[in-house]
Amino acid sequence: MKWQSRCKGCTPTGFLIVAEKDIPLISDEAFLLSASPAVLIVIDALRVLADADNTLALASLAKTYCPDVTLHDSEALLNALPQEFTGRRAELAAMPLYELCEELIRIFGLWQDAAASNAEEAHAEGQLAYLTYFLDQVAAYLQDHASSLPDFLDHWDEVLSAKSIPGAVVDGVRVLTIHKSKGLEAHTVFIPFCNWNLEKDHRDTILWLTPSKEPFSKISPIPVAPHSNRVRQSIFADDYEQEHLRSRIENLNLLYVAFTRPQRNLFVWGTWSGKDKDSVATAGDLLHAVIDKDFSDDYQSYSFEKTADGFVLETLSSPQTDCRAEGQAVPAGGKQNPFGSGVRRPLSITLCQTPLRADFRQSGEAAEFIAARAGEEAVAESAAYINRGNLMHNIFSMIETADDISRAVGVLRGQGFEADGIDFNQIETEIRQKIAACPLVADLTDGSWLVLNERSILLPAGSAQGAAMVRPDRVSFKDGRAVVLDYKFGKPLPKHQEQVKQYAAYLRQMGTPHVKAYLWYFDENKLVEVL
Amino acid sequence: MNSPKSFLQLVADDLLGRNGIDFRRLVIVFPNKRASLFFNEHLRRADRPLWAPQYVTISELFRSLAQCEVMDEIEAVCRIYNIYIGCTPGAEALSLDKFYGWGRQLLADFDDVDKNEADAARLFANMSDYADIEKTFGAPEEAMRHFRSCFRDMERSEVRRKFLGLWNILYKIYSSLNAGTSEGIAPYEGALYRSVAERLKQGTLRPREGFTYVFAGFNVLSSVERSLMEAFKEQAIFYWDYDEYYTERHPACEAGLFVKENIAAFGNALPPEAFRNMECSAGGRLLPEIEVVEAPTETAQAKSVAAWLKKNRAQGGTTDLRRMAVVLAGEGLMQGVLHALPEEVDKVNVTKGYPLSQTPAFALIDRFEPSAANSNEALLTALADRLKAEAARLAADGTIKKIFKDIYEEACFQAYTVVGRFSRLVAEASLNVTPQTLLRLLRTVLMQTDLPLHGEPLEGLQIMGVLETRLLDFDSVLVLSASEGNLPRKGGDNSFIPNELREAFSLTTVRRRTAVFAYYFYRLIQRARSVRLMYSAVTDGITRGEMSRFISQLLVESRIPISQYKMQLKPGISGGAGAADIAKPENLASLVKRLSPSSIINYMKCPQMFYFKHVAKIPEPQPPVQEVAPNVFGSVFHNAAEFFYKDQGGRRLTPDMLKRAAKDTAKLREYVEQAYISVRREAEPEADEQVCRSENAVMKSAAVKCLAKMLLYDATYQSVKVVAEEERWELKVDVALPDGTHVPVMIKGFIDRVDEVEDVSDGQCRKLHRVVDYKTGGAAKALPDVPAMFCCDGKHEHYAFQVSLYAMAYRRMHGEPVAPAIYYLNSLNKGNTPYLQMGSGKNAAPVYSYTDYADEFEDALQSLLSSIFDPSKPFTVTEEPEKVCKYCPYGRLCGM
Repeated sequence: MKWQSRCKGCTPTGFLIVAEKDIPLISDEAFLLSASPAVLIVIDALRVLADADNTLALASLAKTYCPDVTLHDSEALLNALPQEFTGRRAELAAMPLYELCEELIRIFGLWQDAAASNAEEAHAEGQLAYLTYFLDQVAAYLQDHASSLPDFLDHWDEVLSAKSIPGAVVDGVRVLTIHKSKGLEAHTVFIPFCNWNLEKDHRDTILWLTPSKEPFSKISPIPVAPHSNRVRQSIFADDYEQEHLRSRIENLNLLYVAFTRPQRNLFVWGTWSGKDKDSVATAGDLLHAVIDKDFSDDYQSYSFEKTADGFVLETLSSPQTDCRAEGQAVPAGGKQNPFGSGVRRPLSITLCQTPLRADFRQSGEAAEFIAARAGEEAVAESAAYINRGNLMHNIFSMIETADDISRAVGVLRGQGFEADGIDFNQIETEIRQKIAACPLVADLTDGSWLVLNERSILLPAGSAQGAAMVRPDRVSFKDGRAVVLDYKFGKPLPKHQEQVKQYAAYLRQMGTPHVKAYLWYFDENKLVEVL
Repeated sequence: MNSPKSFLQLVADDLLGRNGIDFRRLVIVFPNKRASLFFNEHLRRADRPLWAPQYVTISELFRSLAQCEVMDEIEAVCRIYNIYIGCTPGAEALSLDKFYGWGRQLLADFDDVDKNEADAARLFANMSDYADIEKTFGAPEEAMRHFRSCFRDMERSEVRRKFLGLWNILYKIYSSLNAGTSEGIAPYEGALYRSVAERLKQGTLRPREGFTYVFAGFNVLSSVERSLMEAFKEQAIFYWDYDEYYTERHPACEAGLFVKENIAAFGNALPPEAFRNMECSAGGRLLPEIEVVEAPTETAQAKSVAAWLKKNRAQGGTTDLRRMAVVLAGEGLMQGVLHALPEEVDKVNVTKGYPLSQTPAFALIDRFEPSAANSNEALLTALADRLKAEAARLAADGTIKKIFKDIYEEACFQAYTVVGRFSRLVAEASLNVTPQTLLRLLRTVLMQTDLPLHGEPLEGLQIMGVLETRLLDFDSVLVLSASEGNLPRKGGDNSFIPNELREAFSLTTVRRRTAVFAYYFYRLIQRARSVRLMYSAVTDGITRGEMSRFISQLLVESRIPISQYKMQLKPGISGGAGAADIAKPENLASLVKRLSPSSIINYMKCPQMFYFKHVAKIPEPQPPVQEVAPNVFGSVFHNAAEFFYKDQGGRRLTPDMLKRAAKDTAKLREYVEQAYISVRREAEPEADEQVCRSENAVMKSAAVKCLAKMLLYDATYQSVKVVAEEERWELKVDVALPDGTHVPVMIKGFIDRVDEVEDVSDGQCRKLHRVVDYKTGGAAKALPDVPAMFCCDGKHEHYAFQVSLYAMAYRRMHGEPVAPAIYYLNSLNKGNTPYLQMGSGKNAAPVYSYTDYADEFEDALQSLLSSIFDPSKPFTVTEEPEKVCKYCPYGRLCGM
């Protein structure tokens, strides 16, 4: 199952297909991501979104999605595509890459096809293995790249298009190179074209060598192309010989790898270069030269048949000498090996793809601080990006006593709001001045009170308000009295009073009879007692 | 069957059951913030309002005790950088953005040193002082031998030498960093913790009088945390969560390591009966029920969430979404899961962040050109303004889905605040770098930023990371990406401090991290009734397609019968469909009004390629303008030759004149330069002349040599007179179709050169009137006959076709007999004839006149053109896929 150079104009796969028409041959290339129509539809759609002028991608997309499309009719081309795609191009192009891929899968119905159970769709069902692996790759790409369509498409061209889905198991004879077969084994292995050159240097090898001889040794490593006899006469002769030896061993190793893949049977075809037995130039020559001698005791039968220009080697192992037992016995009295091969039962799970759940509530800080988004207290005429009221609320939540002011301001300063021209020194001064100018607030922040800043009151489970909890800005306790204080950074509204009254009522229910409640309109520094 | 009470419920019930606790003065310390939301639910009473306790994380508790803040990480790294540069001669070349990763690593190491109260002076001692380290610390002999061997030959390797250089200044960096920060601010969390721990031990700091502290759900404690708990012990209640499965029955299990220590030191306010849940029997089965599923890919796991919910329902499990959790043990599956939730999941709570790097705000900064700003202040102001403008644009944009709008706006805001943090550092002169470095640094920081994506914390399906599951219990748990490498998480254990020293100084070690992960894992499943653990079989890069070692451990140790499954996705094999013929469009003649030699050649190569390119008119993708296309050499040579002969003004040139011209390299070079500029300006009309002159020196000198070589070859003729260069021609052909109709076709093209030569190469003097085509590729072999010109088997025979077509056109236009000639520039010399060679084998002879085969050629051309336009003949695919398809860009369209 290996070839290196092509043999007389026919590809080895072609050769084998001619040999046995009834046996499906599956090359590993069949499992490339770029062999999957579903993945290609996503990629072409991405190309079209990245570059509206990419007619080739548009044509490929239409052709893959709708094979009967007329390519020379540009209108028919667009009509072949889902309306949701052609009509929403601008919006789609603005989506983050991962979400976009999922959305394209949905729009083009790639998943639905895949999940369909009728027999005609069986072909499409096989696309899930590709689509899920493709999405794996998209997610992995985004782990360390920005979400950029052109960059991702480059990544597809350079890396992903050559990736095969892993561990594909299929009915048929797998065709793969020896390099890819490393670590795998199969019941029966065929090795056609077993006549690669053992001696010849690869044309594209370049050796980076440091000259050891004066004065050349002063130069840093230089590239040397070793496929010329002149190398043997140069100062690099030793290096070359070493490299040559290594590449010869590598070629022998290939033979070793290939011959150790079968569990039972091995079939080898090859030619030899036709010269005398002592000259061993190819793998075929090598077999020719050694095969007549004792081959192996592991194989009860083998045959080595010489043909006009080559040979056929067949080895068939008999069951008796097969040292690999098919099943492993459960050790007496022991628990079954949980890692044994038969432990894992096949499980068929319906994979489901859905549109992104769009009902998230934005709970990030943007909602809180961006002026345009924050609640009605935002001052409409201000062009500020940051909502000042919520900024101030944040600062006050950290102030129990006047000593906390600097630190509280410092915390917000550290969060990077200064870009909006907010002057934190000025804010600090203003807070100090207004507290000093307001005797009650000054009293509440003198350290003699038990202060609960933004502490929740958990409401009874069946409470009429429906809310689970309320959170007064500040409640202070001293000597059996409580003072509720709510900060306001806008114009007075009737509902402010209602809110604070309710807080006072809860406090009484919780066992504090003497409750006073105030609204502090900070900007005007006006304290309003709520009765 | 009732589920066991959740840990938070146990704690809530215990606290409510205690007399004399004033909830106003109750401080609950949880390892994370989220737990408080759930805890409030457990505390709520039916009959009365109730003060919620004060919730703090351990970090907030330390900070409030210290009355001190932690320095912005960017600033701390800047400080470390400045100290490092200050004490490392020659290090200025290292820019801050390159140093940033190291800086964070150092910060993390210092943090670890302080949180574990290690003696930094001794730890960062000069390596030579480590001679008696084993005596000092009693480290195992074997470990120390390994350790010494790593350091012994320090001088030998560059990397080791550099490491040693850094190691020897680590203490200096550590102490300068700590000494250099002002009052009220600590350079990193560990420094703050450590100072609090010291003051608690000295008694200068105390817990708040009259307050009760609850520590619940902690696992591994750093040394400073232990010190704090010791100091608070008198006023504290401790709740530890565990299961006797790993503390008692399987004592070797690392998950129980720290809990056992903690209970021994602080006691547990809950009785042991509450912690017997795993392997307990319910309805004749041992709980939890565990399934282990191997999936073929990562995404396949994400897409199986709906199936899991369905199965859960079918087997009588909970239908309360709040009692179910999807836990993502790996990175990168969150988005896949969000696209896999079925209808019945009406509410979702996601505790993983959305990467800022996937938003337009990041793209905006990523693409920002630093040269647009001449100072850091200007750069940051420009960025802040752009982000604000982007936020405003988003707010006004009606096409973007709401969820992305929210995410994008949040991203703008977060990016905006990061820019603001940088502004402050620049203003305070802590960040003294070039705008380029600043921008790269900004990218680095933003790349690591996630956007919070909370939804409905108390309702809906919980989708969370492993860390977020702390303190929470669920009936049904689905763990995705439970692979080795994720559980325990690999990586993140980088450090400048060698592992042996970490062991010796009781710093965080890999072993400790693993134990912490083991605890999370077991805790997550200990009260669940049904658990599905999924991992993928993919071995890809650093992911190993193996189940987590914790799952293996469960399989071996536990008595719970665990079902193992393998989920299969059989891959379809495509490409078997093969190519289908494409019928001729009815209006073909109007689609293809004009042909060129190359379009006809394309048809000969592959009729479908002709269809895609010249009928459907799908252009080949063009390489970016800046790149030199592969055929540029040919174009440059053609133009240079044209310019040269144009300058000769059509005069007759003698061999001497040509030889002299060939020697004038400077002049030839100028022709080539001019030719290059004209080629470049075809693609980019604004291309600068000086830039053009500086490009592609190797290719140009090859063109100069080639030009000289051609002139020397021309000198082998008695005389050469070039009468036309780049001669434009047109050929009207009336194509007769088999059905008797006719299609008029126009063929257009250019002849490289028309000349008159006196050829004496074979002894006699021939005066020839030639059409000459330049070819920079290899030479063609002799043609057996005229039909061979029309068959395309990859041996350059279409050159003969092309030049014959030129000859035909020239003869029609000028009525003169002409000789078609091809200059194969690679093999141009006296011995190689430029004329077409016809005949097979030894009979092959040069053809000196097109007239010799004109009739045969023109008949064949007729039949070729007729086949192009014959509506009954579909466009087929090439018969030579091996040769034609390799570089054909239309492969996706024909299905080959």
